[in-house]
Amino acid sequence: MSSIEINPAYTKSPAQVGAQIKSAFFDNEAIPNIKLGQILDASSYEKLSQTVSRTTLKPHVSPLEYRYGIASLKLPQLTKSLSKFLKPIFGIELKEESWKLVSLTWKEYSMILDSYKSRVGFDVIVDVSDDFPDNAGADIVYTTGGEETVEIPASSNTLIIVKIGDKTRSFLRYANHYAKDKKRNFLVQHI
Amino acid sequence: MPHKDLQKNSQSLVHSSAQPSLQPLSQSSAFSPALSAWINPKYLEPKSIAALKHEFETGKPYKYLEASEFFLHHRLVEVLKAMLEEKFYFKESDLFKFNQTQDLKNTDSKIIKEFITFLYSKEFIAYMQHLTNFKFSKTVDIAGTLYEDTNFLLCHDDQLDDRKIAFLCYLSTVEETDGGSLALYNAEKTKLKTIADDKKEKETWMPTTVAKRIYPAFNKLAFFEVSEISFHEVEEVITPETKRVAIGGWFYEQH
Repeated sequence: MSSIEINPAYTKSPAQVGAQIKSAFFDNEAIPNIKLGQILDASSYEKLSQTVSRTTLKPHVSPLEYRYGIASLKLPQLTKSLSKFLKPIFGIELKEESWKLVSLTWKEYSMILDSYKSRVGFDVIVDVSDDFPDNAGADIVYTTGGEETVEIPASSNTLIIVKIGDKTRSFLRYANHYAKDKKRNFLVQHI
Repeated sequence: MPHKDLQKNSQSLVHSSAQPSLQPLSQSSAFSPALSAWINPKYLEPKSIAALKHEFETGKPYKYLEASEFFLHHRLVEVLKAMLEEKFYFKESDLFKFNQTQDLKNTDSKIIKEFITFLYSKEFIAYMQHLTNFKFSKTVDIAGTLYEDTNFLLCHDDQLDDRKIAFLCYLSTVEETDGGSLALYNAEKTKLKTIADDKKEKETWMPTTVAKRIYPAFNKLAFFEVSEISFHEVEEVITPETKRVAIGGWFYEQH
C-alpha cells in the first residue's frame, strides 16, 4: 500500500491541535477517550478501505464468548503516519505488524470475559466501517463495571483512542438484523 | 402496549414458600383437583404423562420437553390479557437485550397471581418432579419477559445456585421467520487454558452448534434440565411488529 496521509486539518498546527486533543481525551476521567473523525485524507482512506475489504477473514467463534471475523495485517504506511501524529500527544508508538482487523456482521458479538486479564495501556482503533447502519448495533463498549461506559458506534475513517485502566473491560455489542450484509470493520492495536 | 412504558430496572423474581409433596404420581387418581384447574386434561392422563417422561428423559442435546396447549386455553388467554397490562422494564448488557416485569408476586392482576401461585403450588411442583424424576426445593423463581425487534439472549448455561429446571410458558405465537426461538446447543468437552492464568488447563464443556430450536407458540410449556451442558440462547427477534411474551423461571434442586 502506498503512502497514507493524515487529514491536513490535524497536522497544520500540531502543538495547538495536540493540546486540544489531550484536553478532550481526559474529559472522561474514568475512561479517557477521544474520537477523531475524517482522520485520513480521502484518497488515503479509500486505499485503506480497499485493503480491508480485500482481506480474508478467519471466523473467531466460541459461542459463550465471541463470534466475529478476524485477520492480522501489516500496515507500515498507516503505522508510520499515525505514530508520527500520536507520539507527541500521547507518547505512544504503534507497531506495523500488530494490527488486528475485527469484522462484525449480523449475529456477531463479543462478551466481557470473566477470566480476561486487564491490559493497562491504550487501545488505538481505526474505524473502517463503510455504510454500516446506525441502528444495527455492533458498538465497541468500554466499561469500568460501574456507571461509567463509553460506547463507540461505527463511523468510517475515524481514529479512536481509549485509555485502558485496570478496571476497564470491553465488549462488542451484538450486531442485529439491520446490519444485513454490511460489516462493522475496525483495525485495532493495544499499546 | 406495555413496550411503550419501558424503563431500565433490575431483575426481580418471585420466591415462594410452598412445600412440595414428594409423593409419586403414578395414577390419575393421585392428581389433585388443583392440577385440573389449570392443566389441559390430556396432560393428566397416565399414558400422556408416561410419554412426557420418556420425551424429557431422552431429549437431545440434553433433557428437555415442549408441550403444546399445556394449560387450559381460556385461562391462559386471561393471563395473556393481564400480562399485556403489566409494566415491562428494558434490560441490556453484553449478554442480553429484552424487557422484563418486576416481581410478579406484587402484580395487581388477580389472574396472574392465581397462575403463579399455581406454578409454585405443591401440586404442580409434585407433577414436575414426577415428569423429571428430580426433587425440587420450595424455591421457585417466576418473571415475565417481552422480546421485541432486535432483542436477544446470547448463549449461556443458566447454572446459578441450585437451579435444576428452567421453564417457560409462552404467551404468544412467533413464526419461524420472526426469530425468537429458544435454541439448544450441542456441547463438547474442551481443554481450556484460562487467560488469567495460562499455566492452568482444565477440561470443560463448551457449546458448539445449534441442535434444536423450540419455536414459541401460545400456551406451549417448555422446560429443560439446567446442567453443565445446558447451553441455550434466545435468538434475535427480527421483525418490527413481533411481541414475544412469556412467563418463566426456575425450579431449584432439593438437597
